[in-house]
Amino acid sequence: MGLFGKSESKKEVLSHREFEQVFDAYYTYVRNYIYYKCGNAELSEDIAQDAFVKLWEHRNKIDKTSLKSYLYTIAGNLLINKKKRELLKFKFLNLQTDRSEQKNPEYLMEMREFDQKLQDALAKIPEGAREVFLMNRIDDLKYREISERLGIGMKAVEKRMSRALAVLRDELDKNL
Amino acid sequence: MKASGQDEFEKKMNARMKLWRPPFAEDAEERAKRAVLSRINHRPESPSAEVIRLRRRLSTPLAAAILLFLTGLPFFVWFAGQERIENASETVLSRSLPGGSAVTMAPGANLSFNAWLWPVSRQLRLSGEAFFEVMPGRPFKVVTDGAEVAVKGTSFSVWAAPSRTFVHCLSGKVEVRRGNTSAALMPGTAVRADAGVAALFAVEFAHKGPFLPAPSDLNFDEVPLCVVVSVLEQVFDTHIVSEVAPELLYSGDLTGKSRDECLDILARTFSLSLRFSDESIILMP
Repeated sequence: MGLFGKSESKKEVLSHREFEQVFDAYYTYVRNYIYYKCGNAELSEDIAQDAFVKLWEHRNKIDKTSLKSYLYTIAGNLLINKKKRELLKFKFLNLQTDRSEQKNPEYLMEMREFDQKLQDALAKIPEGAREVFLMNRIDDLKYREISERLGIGMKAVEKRMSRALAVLRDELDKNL
Repeated sequence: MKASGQDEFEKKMNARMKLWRPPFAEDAEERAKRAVLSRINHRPESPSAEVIRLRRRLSTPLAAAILLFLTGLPFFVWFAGQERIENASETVLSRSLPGGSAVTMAPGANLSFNAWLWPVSRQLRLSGEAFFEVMPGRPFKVVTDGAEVAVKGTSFSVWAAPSRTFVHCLSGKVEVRRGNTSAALMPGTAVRADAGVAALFAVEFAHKGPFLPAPSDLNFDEVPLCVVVSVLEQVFDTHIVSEVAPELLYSGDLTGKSRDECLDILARTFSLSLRFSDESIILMP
């Protein structure tokens, strides 16, 4: 159940305050979702913002209980319209440092190499599988949540996840 | 072993990925929020769902009603405001017009005008003879089959038949138009417009008031001979061609006389000759 559950009237129009709550709750996820698809940070931010503006414009027609899937759908459609779905290399620039690993420079070097290979492997995962995989691993979304947000079944989520892991294994197994 | 290998792979991968973050600045969300709120605050407030539904329900019948109203309104105003005055009596009929003007109608005359549009357009249509006393104001227009008479404030007479129109100015200034031809009448002057002839023919006579008597009372007082001839044409339903000077004025009583007796009197009075043909009677010097 989302911010505005089924107990609330479906006919109520999203207020400005509620819109801000929706923004706070979902903006990061929607932006990341687009980023997982296209690998372009600037484009992801633009599209996520456009999706929220569209949500506001069409708030009269939208069922409050389906805001999440609406946002993901509209963002995905906006990306399609932008026609900028080139497969790009993913760069997780804000790589955090694990303090326990700081003591061993060799280990750090190895991990940096692994990170590069991981990023290359991620770029090779089919788009639908990659977004599911990253939503799960980066955004910590459960399969059920991914299923709700993308409007696909749980089986489809599991299948995409398996495909993503299979690609990663093929690309990375030899490096482990 | 395979399962163990997969676990190890996923474990290591997960450990690394937990340290990753998408390449967005720390304040990216806050900046995005400000940008979005600014955008939506500058957009006009959308109508509510109820209003949209109501608009959809009402838009078609409302548009139809407005269209019907706009197209039907001119017809309604035209027909509902139409007034007609007809003098079916044998005597002169006097009536007030909106705005204080007055009309005196000879027997058989009828006129029509739109009372609703009168404040913005003082226009009426006349058939027969009428004497108008017009209050100053907007242009006052009398339309006949043969001419348009326009004045602002004056008194004048109009005698209108399908074949001929006379306009006689008694005071003020009267403008008579027939197609592209126009004539400005001063008091004591008259003009004649014949069907099928573009020109306007001037007639001068000093007669005051309505110059045509009732057909049953053919008593003329200084009436132009051409007007007398026109009255006889109307009364006796005949065609008379007058080739005499238009300035000749006739005074006399032709009541109770036959057509030929009337023509004989006119011919003797003005030393004219008459020629009868199958189609018309020609009155000539």
